[in-house]
Amino acid sequence: MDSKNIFKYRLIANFDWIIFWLTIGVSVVGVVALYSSGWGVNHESNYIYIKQIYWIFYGLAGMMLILYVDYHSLERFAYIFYIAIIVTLVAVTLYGKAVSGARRWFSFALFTFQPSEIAKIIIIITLARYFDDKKIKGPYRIRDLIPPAVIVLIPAILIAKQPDLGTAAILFFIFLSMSFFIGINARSLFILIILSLVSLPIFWHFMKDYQRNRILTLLNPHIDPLGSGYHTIQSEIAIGSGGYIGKGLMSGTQNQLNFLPEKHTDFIFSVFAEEMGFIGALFLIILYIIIIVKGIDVIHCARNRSGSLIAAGAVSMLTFHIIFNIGMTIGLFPIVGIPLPFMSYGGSSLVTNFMVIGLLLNIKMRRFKDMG
Amino acid sequence: MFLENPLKRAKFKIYLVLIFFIICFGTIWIKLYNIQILQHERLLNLSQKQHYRTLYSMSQRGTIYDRRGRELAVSVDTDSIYANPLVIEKPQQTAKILSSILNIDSLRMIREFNREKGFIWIKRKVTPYEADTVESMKIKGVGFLKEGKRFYPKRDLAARMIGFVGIDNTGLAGVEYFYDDYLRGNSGRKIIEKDAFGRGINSADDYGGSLERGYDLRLTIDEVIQYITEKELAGQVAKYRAKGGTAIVMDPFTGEILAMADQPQFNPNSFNQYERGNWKNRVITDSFEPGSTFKLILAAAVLEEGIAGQNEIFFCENGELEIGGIVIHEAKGHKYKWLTLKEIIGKSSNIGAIKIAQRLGATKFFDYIVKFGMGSKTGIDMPGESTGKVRELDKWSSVSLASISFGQEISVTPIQLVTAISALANGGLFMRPHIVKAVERDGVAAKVFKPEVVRRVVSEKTCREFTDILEYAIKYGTGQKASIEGYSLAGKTGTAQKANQDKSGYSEDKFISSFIGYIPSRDPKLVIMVSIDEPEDVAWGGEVAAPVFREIARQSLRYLKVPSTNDRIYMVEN
Repeated sequence: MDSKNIFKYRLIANFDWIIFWLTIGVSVVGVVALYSSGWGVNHESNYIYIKQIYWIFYGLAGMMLILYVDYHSLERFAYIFYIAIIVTLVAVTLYGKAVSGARRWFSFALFTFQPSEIAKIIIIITLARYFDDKKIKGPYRIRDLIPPAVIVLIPAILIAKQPDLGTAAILFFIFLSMSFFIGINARSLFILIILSLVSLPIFWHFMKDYQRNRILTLLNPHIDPLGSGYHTIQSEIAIGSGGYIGKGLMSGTQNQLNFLPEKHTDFIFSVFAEEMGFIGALFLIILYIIIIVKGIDVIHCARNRSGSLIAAGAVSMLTFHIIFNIGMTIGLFPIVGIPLPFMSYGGSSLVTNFMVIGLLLNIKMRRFKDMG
Repeated sequence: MFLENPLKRAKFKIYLVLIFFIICFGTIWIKLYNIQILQHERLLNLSQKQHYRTLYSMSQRGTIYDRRGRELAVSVDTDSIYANPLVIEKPQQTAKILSSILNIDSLRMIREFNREKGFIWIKRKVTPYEADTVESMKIKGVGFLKEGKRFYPKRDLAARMIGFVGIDNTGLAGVEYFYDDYLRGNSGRKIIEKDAFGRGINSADDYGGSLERGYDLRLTIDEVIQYITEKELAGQVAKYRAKGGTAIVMDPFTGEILAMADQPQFNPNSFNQYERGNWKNRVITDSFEPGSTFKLILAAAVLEEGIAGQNEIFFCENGELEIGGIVIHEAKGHKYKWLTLKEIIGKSSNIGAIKIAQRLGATKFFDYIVKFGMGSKTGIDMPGESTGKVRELDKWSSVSLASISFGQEISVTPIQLVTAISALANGGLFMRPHIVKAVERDGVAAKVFKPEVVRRVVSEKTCREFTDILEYAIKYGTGQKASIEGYSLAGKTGTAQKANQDKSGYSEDKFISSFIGYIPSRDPKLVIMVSIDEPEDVAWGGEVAAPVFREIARQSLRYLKVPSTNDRIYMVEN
């Protein structure tokens, strides 16, 4: 009894409050941005920020859940989770609720659930489990990477078919990062890059017209400034009109007047940057960078390789979300539906990201052997 | 393999990750700086273009009424469709849909959509069906504005006087142009803020209520008399296959125009389907050589100067008189010997007119020509009035006095002639002719245009004698076909040869036949002038123009309930 209390005490002592409070901080900024974006003319969206607050609490609950369980146990059940999520993803493509042409959601009485979000965590854990099981001396070669690639590819294809290219791409980048972390043979890395370049035309072939257009407009935004370039241009107008210090909360005309598309979800950064300006955007990005740096720190101080692997996956997932989302709003990347962690409105994404933070905290908390 | 040492490998990886982060976040920051700082002005400007829009004078245009309050021009609320190109998501598709509904060029629309503008008109003043169809498509970036469309319910009735408006509701011709400031309402810009769906987001959107409606106009025109005038004129122009024709009905005591017609017809609802030359109101814009009707000015001058009484006789040279090397004949080959002044006017003797003019003298004749308003604008409240052409006295040649005495070598507009004769009909006062009685709002007059005396031209006594002569001309002279049973009439025919285009002299077969007169002659209600341009077969004013005068006068007098002498007999019998 005594030892257990000490154990608990030491776990809490090793809890990384900085990551925790930064996460809460960004989430609060997100709620403010949501409140502001709903402030304008259409009052139907006014209560979105309240829902988001609820979701933050659900997210915190999810985080607690992850914290409570030793990540080794999570790894132990990884393949079961994996099969469960594959089944769920198949089910969602068959029975899911279609929103603007995409079947990504399960609709429940009170909320909708997007299994592809949770899939990201499960893929991270499953990959960690796989790499942990199949320890190889020296750097990995291409053929060693085929089985883990398949592990990622199955859910990635299912998600891409929803269609949700963004999340599928994120899975691919998580896989790349974790492979990079365990160490790929330089030649293999080279071949991998060549292979992905070669496969681009094939991808191109399978893409839908609107997806191709998005990439084309990225290369040259003025091909079709009002068609597929619309989102990008509106977002740039919103962000650019913000200037140094922004237009002030509740005063961003572009988001208030609905010129900005998807302003609650994918383009919440544009809302924030319009109203808070360059300074505000810099501040927000610095918060994210601190979270990422603290995450990288977790990779290094993890007790063992599987902990480091999971942390690497978690950090890469957050990082790519942030880079892709912000890059998309400022016209660096094509428009793919990738939410900004802790800012974008959306329950599944928020809960998942809190759980990812939970994973990082979990690993950091249990970094000393004697406390296992 | 390089970096076999795991520690070195780990370090190398950290550097790689660091470089990756620097590249990614560095690019994001550079791009953010570019957008938010370097391009701030441009993008801010774009954002304002998207949601601020300047509206120009969307207030409703005033109604134009006839003298009895019957609507001649009204504004009907119609939808105009506009787009905000910066908001349209699928320009190709949108252009295709809109072009099929609205029947407009889709390529032009795509070009418009690609401009960095926050506002373009797609199609203005569409039909309700078109508006409903487009609205049902619910296209983002496409919106509607109410605009007043000018509608002329009586179509071509009084069209040239009323004029018409352009797409922006500014008057382009006629009264619509002349009184645009009143009709337009309060002009000016209005900036309104719109959201992505084109909905107004603040009170400025209620511009309909905040802008003041334009003033209404009450014309001096009487719809019924106008109708009669146009119908009779058109009938005769068609009957004689004439090139055109004009007619004016005026109240001699007030200068109010009761009707003004100009053939061929013209429908202001579709003004741009007519040639530009057809838009003008020839009654006031085009001058012509008046011919014999101009002898009236001569007669009035002689009477006023007391040079000759109406029964004074002149020798008419047996129908042949040489002046300045030119031999002048009488019309229809008449050979008159001695004629009284009254007969000269009644029978329309050219040589007689020359004899009278010679006795009056060029200087005095010229003075009266100017006094009767020839060579200067009457000041009627319509755009484009011309002065006609009166040769300055010092430029008169040896034949000028003779030519002008029977209405050649001088050109006048129909409105000038009618105003001059009105002065003789009303007892000697030259009135400014006008077409607008009052400017009103909600039936309350804001400004009334009262009859305006320009000057006294001749005495009342002269006018009485003058009327004697014109009554004689109707009874015994060339104007018999104009006479109406029950009313005494004063009038005069005119048949003017048209000058050749090449100025080589006068055409043998192109005439302007006219008739001018007032009725009832001793208490005139109407001064009417009719002229028919190039009638075929028969040219004589007495044949062609006089019957039109008679019909306009007969029907108008009955409509105005002016008692005839027949009525009086009837009443006595009662």
